[in-house]
Amino acid sequence: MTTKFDVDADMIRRLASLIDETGLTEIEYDDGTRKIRVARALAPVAAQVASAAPQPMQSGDQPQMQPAPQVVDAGHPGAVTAPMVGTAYLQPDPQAPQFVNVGDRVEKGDTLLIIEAMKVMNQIPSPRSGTVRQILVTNGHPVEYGEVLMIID
Amino acid sequence: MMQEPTLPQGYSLAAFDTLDSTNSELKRRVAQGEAPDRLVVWAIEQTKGRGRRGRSWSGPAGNLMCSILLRPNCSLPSAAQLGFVAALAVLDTVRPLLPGRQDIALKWPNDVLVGGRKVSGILLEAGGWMPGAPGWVVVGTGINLMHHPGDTEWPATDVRTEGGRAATAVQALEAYCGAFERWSACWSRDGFEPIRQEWMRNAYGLGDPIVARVEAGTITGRMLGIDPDGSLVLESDAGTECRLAAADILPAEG
Repeated sequence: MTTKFDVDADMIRRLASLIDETGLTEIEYDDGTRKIRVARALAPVAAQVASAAPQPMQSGDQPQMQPAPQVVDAGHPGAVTAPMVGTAYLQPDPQAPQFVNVGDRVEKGDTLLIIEAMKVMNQIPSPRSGTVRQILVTNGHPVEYGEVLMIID
Repeated sequence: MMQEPTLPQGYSLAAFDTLDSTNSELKRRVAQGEAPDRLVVWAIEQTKGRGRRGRSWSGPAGNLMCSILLRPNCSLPSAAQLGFVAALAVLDTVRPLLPGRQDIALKWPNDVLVGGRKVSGILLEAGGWMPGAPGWVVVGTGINLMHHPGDTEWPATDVRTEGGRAATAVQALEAYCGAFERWSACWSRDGFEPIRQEWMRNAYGLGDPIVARVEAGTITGRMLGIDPDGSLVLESDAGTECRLAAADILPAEG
């Protein structure tokens, strides 16, 4: 009935605005008789689940959540993957230039970006010498374990 | 001439009157290959002290500013637990200076609060981690003994302002390194769980509403504690449990 439908639409609107407000990806509401689930498919994700015992990704697996616009397989020969869950920063501090840009030549061990977790700023070194072909992370956004950060070959 | 600090066995000291930042100096030494495990850099005064994401940390003489280099034999995610180890060491340094105070607590992940005000800060920087080869971690610590800044997002204080016992930076450095060694030995031997439990016993705002700022905005919720890898666990107003690996905790309004 119309009244009932209006109530549901209102609830959905409220849940949707709550999603925006909290930065969550999904909210489920259950009042016993009906259940409403509001979710957004797009990262950025504010609330990230830190995995206690991360497992290396099997080659061929796709990352479950891929905030980058392009999906790049971790098996790509030039892939640089995240060694941990955290927030990615492309600059040493907000006023400084990026560690690397697309087209830059890097040496093995050069810092590519920082991943922060538990207020530890982790400088992620390049696993190989080569040229930065693609940067797949967004500054200040969360990354998952095993997610492809950059392509360097 | 200042008194030479006595540090635990296995620690070495590089002392300076003035430095830009003890973390920066330690990282320069790492880059030059001159930083053994448990090297401590200490400066009486710091001119370009750093906090998280380019924030400054005031470093006037009278406060303690030091950084410890560690080369832990563990995975990179586990190395992040050293921030909690350092927080417990700061707690053990500050508590005897303020005897009888029941309002000394830990704000996630590693700030020590006295009466709800921040008395210390810790900045950890890590690097050199390659698959199968552990890297290094710089644990930078500032403890406000005599002075505190007045223009911070979270209100600050210092031990003197709180009516605490006078301690020189040398005494605080010795106490801090001693406590750091005790807690890091516990962590190496028994893992994160005893560290987590001690942290939870001293947690600020457990069960209270808090505001966590992440890149996408803020999340308000009830603080439930920390999970087995140190992530902040909170229950959002919508009843959802969130785990945050990186966030700023802001003062709750009202």
